[in-house]
Amino acid sequence: MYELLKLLRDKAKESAKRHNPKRPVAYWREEDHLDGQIVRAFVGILRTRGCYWALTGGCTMCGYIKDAYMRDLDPSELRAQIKYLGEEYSGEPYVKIFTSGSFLDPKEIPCEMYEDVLSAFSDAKVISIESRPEFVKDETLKILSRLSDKFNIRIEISIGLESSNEQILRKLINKGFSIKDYVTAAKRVKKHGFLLKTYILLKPPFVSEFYALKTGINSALFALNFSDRVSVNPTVIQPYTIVEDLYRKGLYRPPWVFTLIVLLKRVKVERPEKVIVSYPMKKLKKEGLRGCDSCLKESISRIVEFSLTQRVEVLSLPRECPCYKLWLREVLISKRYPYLY
Amino acid sequence: MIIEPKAQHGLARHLIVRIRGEKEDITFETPNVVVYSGISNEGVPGDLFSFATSYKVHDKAPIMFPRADYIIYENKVIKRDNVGIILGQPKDYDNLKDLDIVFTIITRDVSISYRRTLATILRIRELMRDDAILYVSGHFKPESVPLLYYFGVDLVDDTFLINMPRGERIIQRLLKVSKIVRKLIDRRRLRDYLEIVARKSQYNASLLKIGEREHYKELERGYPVLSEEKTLMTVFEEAILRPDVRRFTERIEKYYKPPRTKRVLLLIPCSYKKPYSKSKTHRALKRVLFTVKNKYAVHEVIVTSPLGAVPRELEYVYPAQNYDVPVTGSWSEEEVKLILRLLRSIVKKGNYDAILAHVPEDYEFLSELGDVIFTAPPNRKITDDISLKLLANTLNETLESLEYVTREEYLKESAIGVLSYQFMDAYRNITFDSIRGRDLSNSRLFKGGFQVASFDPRRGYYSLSMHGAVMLARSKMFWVEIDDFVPKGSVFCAGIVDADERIREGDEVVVLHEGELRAVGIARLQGRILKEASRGLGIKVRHHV
Repeated sequence: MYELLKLLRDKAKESAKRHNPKRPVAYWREEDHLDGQIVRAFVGILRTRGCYWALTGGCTMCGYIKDAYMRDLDPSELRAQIKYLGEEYSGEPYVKIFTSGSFLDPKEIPCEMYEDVLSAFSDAKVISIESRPEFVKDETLKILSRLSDKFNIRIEISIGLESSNEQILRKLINKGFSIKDYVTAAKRVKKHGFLLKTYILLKPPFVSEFYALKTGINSALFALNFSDRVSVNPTVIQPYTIVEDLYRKGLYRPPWVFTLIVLLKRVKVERPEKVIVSYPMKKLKKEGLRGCDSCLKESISRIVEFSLTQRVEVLSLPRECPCYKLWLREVLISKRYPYLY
Repeated sequence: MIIEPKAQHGLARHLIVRIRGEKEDITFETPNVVVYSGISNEGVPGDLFSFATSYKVHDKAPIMFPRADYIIYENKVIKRDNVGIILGQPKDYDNLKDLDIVFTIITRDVSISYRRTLATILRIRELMRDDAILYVSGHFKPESVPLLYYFGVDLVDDTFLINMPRGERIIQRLLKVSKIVRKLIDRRRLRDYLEIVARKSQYNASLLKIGEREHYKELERGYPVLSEEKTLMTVFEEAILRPDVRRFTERIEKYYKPPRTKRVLLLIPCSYKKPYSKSKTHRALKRVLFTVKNKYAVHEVIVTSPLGAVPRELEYVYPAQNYDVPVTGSWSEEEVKLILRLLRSIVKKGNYDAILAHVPEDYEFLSELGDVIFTAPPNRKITDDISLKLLANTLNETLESLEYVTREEYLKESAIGVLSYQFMDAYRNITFDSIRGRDLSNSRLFKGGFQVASFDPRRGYYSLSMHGAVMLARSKMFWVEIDDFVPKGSVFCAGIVDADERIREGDEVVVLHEGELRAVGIARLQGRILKEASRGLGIKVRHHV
């Protein structure tokens, strides 16, 4: 499988378009939950050389390598991107600055650039960045901590844990780090007083519906021991990934929307003081969350409402719908038969 | 786990599987559907099986499959005790003979191509023991499941079907179909049912056609050489591809020995009634032959479809005795090609002075054989007086110049024809000096006063006596090696150590122990199962020491 992964990456690299290195990948505005209230958020995605892990294989479900520039960028080009985003920014309190890799990877964004980023969004209350745990080092965190005090902006570091099951993480997702690495990084983040957000993947490849739910709940609860916020991401079928290959072979189907609802409900009830969010994509080129058309629309809007308000009452299941019964049966079958991916 | 082979047709097997449960034994029959969804009490309950992956540990169950991840991305055989999982394609050196159940998943990209589906299934089947169970899950089309059974799948499951539109109904239907298939295997009539199944979709039609054309060898093993049923439906042209039909034509071409003495070849049409000699037409022709001088110098060959050409002495053989075909008076190109090919091979091997054809008009393609004398006048039935008179006259003319053939010689050469078809290369070992009987159908062969064999009209074969068995044993064919005991009634597979893989169900076999003859009888299963199975009735013994 890992050879195939490398092959797919090479294909992705070949088919990658020539991007303009002076423009970010994308930016948009959305709403999010922050400190008990709904706030406006600004999301900007910087184009960097790409996730080092993805370039040499990477995770089985991740296709973000398509947004990467693949070659080293000049600091001036990165500065142009930040400047561009800074001009578009209109004072939203919650800012998310992502790359298609790790923000804290010095090969993607040099440490000298952090000041540029923070100064571009100086009106923000919280700036959220993403990184793999191996780049969460004391030296980088010290620099960020100093800048955070200087600009009076809180910094949220997001780590993609995906699953707290070591076997799933290592074998099925091919994440490249272990739970121990995550815990070390998480403790380091908290030591420096940053906020921590953890991503959990709902239904990794080769995991059936029942075990997706089970391991999803376990992972979220595990992550909440360290994090202030957990974001649950249902798997999306992205090009040039193992998930897409499986999907074509008929061996992978995205999770049911009801699985996500049950997961959110269960985790929120267990840890009501923590923030748990999920923003499933509404527009998808390929199959997204499963469910009949009306249920899907209704359920996704409920999930978004829950994510913004954190009120567990809004989550409900349409118990009369035939597709709900279908989901129930699939969960039961996949308890015994785990190859129903 | 105890697996008892009950019947086989093609690669489809009716097996009875007994599994020791905690409280009581569980029995199920294959081919069958494993039901995980709990929508039916029929079929094999899903509780019987337990799977494990990196995130799921084994539940307690009678059959526990080994732990396997990413099931399609590795080419590997994983084993746990006597059950195994095949990831991807198995390799030649993989040993699957020790496994009782093999599980594999068919992905969608394999299932959309009938060639790849067949290759995957038959590849695994070939490496497995013949009485072991092949459990296939994944993306198969529900309407082609009977065909999958025919090509060697024993268990399918409902996991991927349940989410289809009207999934419940599909599964209920599949359970019913599996039951029908089991019954049809017992009656050896699955192939007839498949002609209907093949018509359900283009995919099914291709699956059957390509499967039988390209995997004839594997399928032919599973066809018996006798049939309890009287008729065998061959309505459509694919009947030419049937493995039993193709076995008949191949044996005629390769092994059948026509009479050695100089003869006249008489081509006649087939009849609805079987065996042919019982039919009205053939009885009429026989009456004419009776009036002819030197009548034993006529070698009759029946021209037919889909068997091609059936020499008179083989008219009792399966499937010549059993088939049924609608006569339309039109011949397809493939049929004509087959008939001419077989007749040419008979003419080449035999020693014929002239070729006569007493056939209706639509048989005129026979003229391609060379100098064929058509005896029946056009626009007339071949059985009316004028036609028959003409036939008698022509026969008298052509036979006049031939050396006289005695009745004994005629019967002997007919017997050789049957023996060469039945025992193939081993027929030379069965020698005899005299033959007794009214005609071939109740003839007995003798050597030095001892009976060697007698004709069995049920099979169209010769049944051997102990003297004949000694002769066959020398040929190193059709043998079964048993443990050290003297079989009396039947030999069960448990007692069989090894067997000749050329044995087919219904064949005459000799039972040996370290080269020493113990018994002779009829095989009830094909050679490979006799060799590999450890349960079930193997040989019905006729004579023993």
